[in-house]
Amino acid sequence: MAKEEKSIPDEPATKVNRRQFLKLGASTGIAMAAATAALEGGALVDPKQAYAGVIKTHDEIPYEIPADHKRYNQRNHMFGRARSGDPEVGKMAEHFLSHRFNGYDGVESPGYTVLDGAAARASFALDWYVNGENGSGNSNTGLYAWRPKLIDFLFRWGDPDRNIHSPGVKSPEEGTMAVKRMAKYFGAHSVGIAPYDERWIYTETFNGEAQKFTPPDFGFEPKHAIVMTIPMEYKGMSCAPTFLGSAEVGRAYNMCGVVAFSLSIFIKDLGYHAVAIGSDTSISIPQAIQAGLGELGRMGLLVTPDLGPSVRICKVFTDMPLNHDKPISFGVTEFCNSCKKCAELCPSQAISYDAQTTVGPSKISSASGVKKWYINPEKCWSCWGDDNVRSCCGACIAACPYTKPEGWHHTLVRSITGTPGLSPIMKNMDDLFGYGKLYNEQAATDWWKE
Amino acid sequence: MALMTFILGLLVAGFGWVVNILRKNTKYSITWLGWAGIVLSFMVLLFAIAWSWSCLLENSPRAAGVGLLMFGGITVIIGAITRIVIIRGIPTSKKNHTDGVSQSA
Repeated sequence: MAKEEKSIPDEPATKVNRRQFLKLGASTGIAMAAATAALEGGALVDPKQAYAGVIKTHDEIPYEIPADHKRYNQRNHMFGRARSGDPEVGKMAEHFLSHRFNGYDGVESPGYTVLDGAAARASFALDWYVNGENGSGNSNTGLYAWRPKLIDFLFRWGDPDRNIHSPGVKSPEEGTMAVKRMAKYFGAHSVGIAPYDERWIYTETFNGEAQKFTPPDFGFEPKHAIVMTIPMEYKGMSCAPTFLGSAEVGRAYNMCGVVAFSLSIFIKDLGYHAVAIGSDTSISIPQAIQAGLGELGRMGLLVTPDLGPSVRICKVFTDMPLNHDKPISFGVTEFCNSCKKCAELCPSQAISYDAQTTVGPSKISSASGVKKWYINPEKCWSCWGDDNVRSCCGACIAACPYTKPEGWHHTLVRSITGTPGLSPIMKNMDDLFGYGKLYNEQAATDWWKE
Repeated sequence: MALMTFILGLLVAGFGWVVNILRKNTKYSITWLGWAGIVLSFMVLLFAIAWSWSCLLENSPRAAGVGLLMFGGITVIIGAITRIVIIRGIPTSKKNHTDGVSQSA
């Protein structure tokens, strides 16, 4: 009798039995656990690490600065000229002040409503009423007072000559770690330390306490400039040049005062001298470049690796022992050579389309000498009061392809932006993907939803 | 973002399953080039989904749409080329002419 062979019916390969399913699940789980342990919580491809590999450091500022570079006098910049009684600039100031944030003019498009105007005015309030409008260069007032008068009974704060904690740090390394940590704790996005370089200090600054232009006098000799960037949110700056873009500017100016003042008190508590500086007393951008915070963009602003030009800058000058950071580059100059998007979209066409040069277009206000892109400051400010702006503008910041919200895909794109030959393509891609638009009504409408 | 990562993980797991089935059931002999094309096409598809999802999260629908179109299009092109490579094979310089050759001495 023939044995009946037990035959196993053929199973279609598309059907999975219990054994195969358990095998697949167990092997996937083990693989995931092993991968997670190996990566130690990081990503397989970390865009931030890829981007960091693109950033180069330099021993000196990577710009051509003449040996006989002349220091700038704050009387010559647009706000300084307005304060000095320059008639041409005075008219621009009147034009701007009479229209600034005025939603009552009857134009009710998103970003230009009465609500939007009130938001902008309120955002600037702290800077105006406490710091005397430091945003326009007023020094030695409010949180930026060179010798603030503080309450005496609490641990003798603010007076290093009587400070019981002096000296507060054991080494420049400890000091550097401490000020960077505290700067970020108070709200700075990034912080760098540069030597106190007289080349960037104004020969005269508008002294808010004295109500006249005077040479800076802090009562001590600073050795270092701690330079900090304060972020301006993408949500706000994407509304530029409407009132809501300016609201973001005002909010950042307020934060500048808080961060710089708080850090200066921290340093004084440790027994050293320190003074908080905002948009006054020195040219912020070369100090920020020297401190390793970014590069100079075509529009004349600091372009940072993470936030592009969407930052404000504040400083603390001190004699505390600190180590210095080095200037960096990450492809901005190469990109700006071909991009020119800020120049195309500038409402007043004040940004140069040309190559870098050493002579600026304004005989009075341009700080000529350094080889860079120069904007036309008269053209820039003259449009701030125009009907299509009526604000602090910021169009160049909104237009810049480096201004992006935080995201892995933007970090990845930035890491290849400086690649030779890719810059024109990246600019066109930025346009194609719909970034960098001005008068973004959807952004202005969505601003109120959060 | 966490949901996006989870969904992408599921897609990767599903891809592994599909590859396993494909390996056993295809009548074609898939060479290393074919497998490379399949994997590359899938990775670009993952990138397209991740890009678009991230753009939508930051409220940039146009960027999401253009990204899906661009990277999705690249996925389709790579997939189509891979399919041709698999079906037709890699052209070889020598052909075997044993067909029709007489076996008589």
